[in-house]
Amino acid sequence: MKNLNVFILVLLGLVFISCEDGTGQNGYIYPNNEYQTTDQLQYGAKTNECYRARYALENNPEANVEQLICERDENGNITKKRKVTYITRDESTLRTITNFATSFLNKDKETREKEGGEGCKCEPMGESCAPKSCTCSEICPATAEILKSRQSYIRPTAENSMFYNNSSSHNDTAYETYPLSGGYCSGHVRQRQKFTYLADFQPDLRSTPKMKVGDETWKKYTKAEIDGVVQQRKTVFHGFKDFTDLKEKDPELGDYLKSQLGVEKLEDIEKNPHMSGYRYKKKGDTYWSLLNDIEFKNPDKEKIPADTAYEPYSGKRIPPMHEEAEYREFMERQVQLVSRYSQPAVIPGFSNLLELSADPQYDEIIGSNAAIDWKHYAELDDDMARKGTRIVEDKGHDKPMTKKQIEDMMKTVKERMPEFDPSKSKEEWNKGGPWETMPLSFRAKNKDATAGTQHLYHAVEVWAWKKLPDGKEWICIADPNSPPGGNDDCNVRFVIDPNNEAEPITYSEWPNRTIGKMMLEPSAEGQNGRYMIQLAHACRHKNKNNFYMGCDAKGKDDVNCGDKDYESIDVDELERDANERIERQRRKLEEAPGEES
Amino acid sequence: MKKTFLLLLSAILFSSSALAISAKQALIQNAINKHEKNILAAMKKKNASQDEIFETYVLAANEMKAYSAFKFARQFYYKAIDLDGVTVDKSRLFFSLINMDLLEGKSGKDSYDELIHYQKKHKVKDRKFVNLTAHYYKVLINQKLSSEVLSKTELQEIEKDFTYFTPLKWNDIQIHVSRKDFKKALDLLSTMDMNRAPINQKIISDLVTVKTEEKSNKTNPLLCEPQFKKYPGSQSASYTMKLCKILLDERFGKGFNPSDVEKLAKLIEQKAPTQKFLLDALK
Repeated sequence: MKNLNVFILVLLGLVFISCEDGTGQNGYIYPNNEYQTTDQLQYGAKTNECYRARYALENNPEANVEQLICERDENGNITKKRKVTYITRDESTLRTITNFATSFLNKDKETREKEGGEGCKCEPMGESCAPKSCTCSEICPATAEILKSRQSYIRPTAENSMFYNNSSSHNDTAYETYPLSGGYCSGHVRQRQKFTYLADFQPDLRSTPKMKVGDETWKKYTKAEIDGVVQQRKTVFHGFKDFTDLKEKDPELGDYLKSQLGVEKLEDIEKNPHMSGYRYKKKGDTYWSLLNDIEFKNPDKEKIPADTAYEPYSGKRIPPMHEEAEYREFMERQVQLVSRYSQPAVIPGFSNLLELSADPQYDEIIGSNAAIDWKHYAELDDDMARKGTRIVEDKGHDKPMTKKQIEDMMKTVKERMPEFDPSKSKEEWNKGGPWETMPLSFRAKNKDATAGTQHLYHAVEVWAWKKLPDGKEWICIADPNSPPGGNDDCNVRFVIDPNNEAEPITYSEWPNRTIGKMMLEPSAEGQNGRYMIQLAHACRHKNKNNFYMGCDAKGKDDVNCGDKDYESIDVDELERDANERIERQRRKLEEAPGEES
Repeated sequence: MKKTFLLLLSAILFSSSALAISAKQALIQNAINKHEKNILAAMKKKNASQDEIFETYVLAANEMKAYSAFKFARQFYYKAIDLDGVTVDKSRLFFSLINMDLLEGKSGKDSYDELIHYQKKHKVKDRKFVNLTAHYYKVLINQKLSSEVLSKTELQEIEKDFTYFTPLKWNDIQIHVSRKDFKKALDLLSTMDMNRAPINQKIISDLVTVKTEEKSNKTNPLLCEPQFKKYPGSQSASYTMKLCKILLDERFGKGFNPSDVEKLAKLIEQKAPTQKFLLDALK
């Protein structure tokens, strides 16, 4: 359907959809079929987000251009259409285009997204409202801007955490002889970081087999989804409107449902759903909070058509979940791509890291890769830290940091990590970046000289900082030893008190220990840079035919990026190239401005 | 320049499915050779020092290793090792080689011998952390208990530093399990809280529990049991869940199902060859 509509758009002629956010300026047409809007001329390509949305038909340089001026809210929904401007030679074609474009923009957001993308937005790693409506450097910048797409993953909420811990007992007693069960703290930090940066969780990306209510495929599919309810992952049922309906339609499946969920839980779901259409939302029954999405589709249909989903990077078919062996094999590859091979990957069918890592198959993979990463980075940091200080080896590293050392560390923290703002919701927080987290190693010593292990070494993840009115500062921490959700809201933190010389830094999780030297792990720079580049490449590969003015031109016009000549890609050069193209356009416009109505 | 080189290499690797990297090895190899030549020429032009060239090779090698492209990582590590006129200690590069050997199921002894050879030839004043890492790998490649491989002083150094203490404890647990010294493994495990550990650590603990518990006292659930019950289908793809099933069967008097053990062997071979000691302990 999506392709068909896009095809219709292309057939209809040159459609130039542009949303304007206040200036009311018109669009221009260029003889070489490349288009520019006036605000771009004025402010450059990277401003005025709404104006960037555009659609151009390449094969018809003389065709008509239509510009729809509209205002949108933050979600891309049209709130007001302000005016329509035409540049045309053929009224009848124009009318067709206008009608189509108007009807396109009048459709509800969900339909528009299905047909062409997310409306008038050119967000890094996002979708645009129609093919070739955003430039490569807008959607897939090879800069830290691409990490913006990871904003919702950075904060270590329960959903963004591992199901398991490196250890859970570090603070059960005042002092433990050997407190760690894991021993691979820095590896666990790296694993969460990999999923933060590289995993694209898409719970709705799933295949549905062709089935008929009552047949074997339907039963198998429904059983797998019932298992999904127990596992607290997103589930989609077909052919009945709720569980009561299911029990009536198929008593055998009703029994299975009862046996899997338990009578009490089933009754609870049946009696107290927070209904939204055919959708239940219910709090999970574990001690951390997790919403369980249960959706009922096609409640009155007998025949359910097949709906096959494809992995967007490789184009591979995603097996339906009830084909368990095939599905698990497919998923293992996706999880390994992120966890072991440091590659971006779509994680279909799962909403977040907590859901994924609760499944023992993926828990097993991530757990063993944490041990591997621990070894890799233990070596790497030894290497990278040669010019600095390796905190684990020198004498005196159990002693508190000096004022100068703390200042130096905080400078980097403030440069690279966002400021924590407790007044903003999890969704609103940190919209402006920076979107980075970094591993931090530190030493500590028990205050009680007679207690257990004297010298401790630990690695955690810094995700934000905060300055307090009294001059103290917080470093917000995701500690791999804390249970899911225990790290959110900066309640796990280092507190820096510049006026306390004897103990300038304390750690909320280790109140009985003196904090010694700390170090933002030097290898993180290379690692974060690598993730950024990988994301840019994945984005370019996925959108290879979707960019306005192509991507990795490197002297050639309209070369689609993503699958060609990889060894010749130089991202800096690509950026320069894109800027040059825009500059060329600007000069052309100055020399011969397009028609304006 | 270094940055560009690494970007190029990462770009090359992105285009390959990392899991099927062998299919594009020739292409990647050509690309690496081509860019290496260019980078070296540019560095020479800028009068880069041998240390800088060394650092570039190490960065490239680390980059390859991060993508689990061990073949190429080795090439760059050896180029860095073979480079003359470098003033820094190269010991750490051998650790990377040993680490990759172990991950590929090799013994790692050859790389360890190369390390010893290098250290004898190149004396360095302070190798404290390097020595700790060397102790760690010495134990791993010998596949013995840490107390059988390291001297008392070396063990004390490890314990004092803490970095390698718990990982070596895990090594000792695994050795005890493979020797069927389950009581000794239990002693070490009892110092740890395993309740929220990763499943691949929990399963070792469960195996030891089953092998050491009194027949009359089997009331505590196994650590793997909740996940096994919640994800019944996962045992087709997960060695920990397959082993969990075997342990639950044994615990409740059903005995081993040979077909389950066979499947477990296959899963371990395919997905977790380093966990073969679990199979030995079952037999």
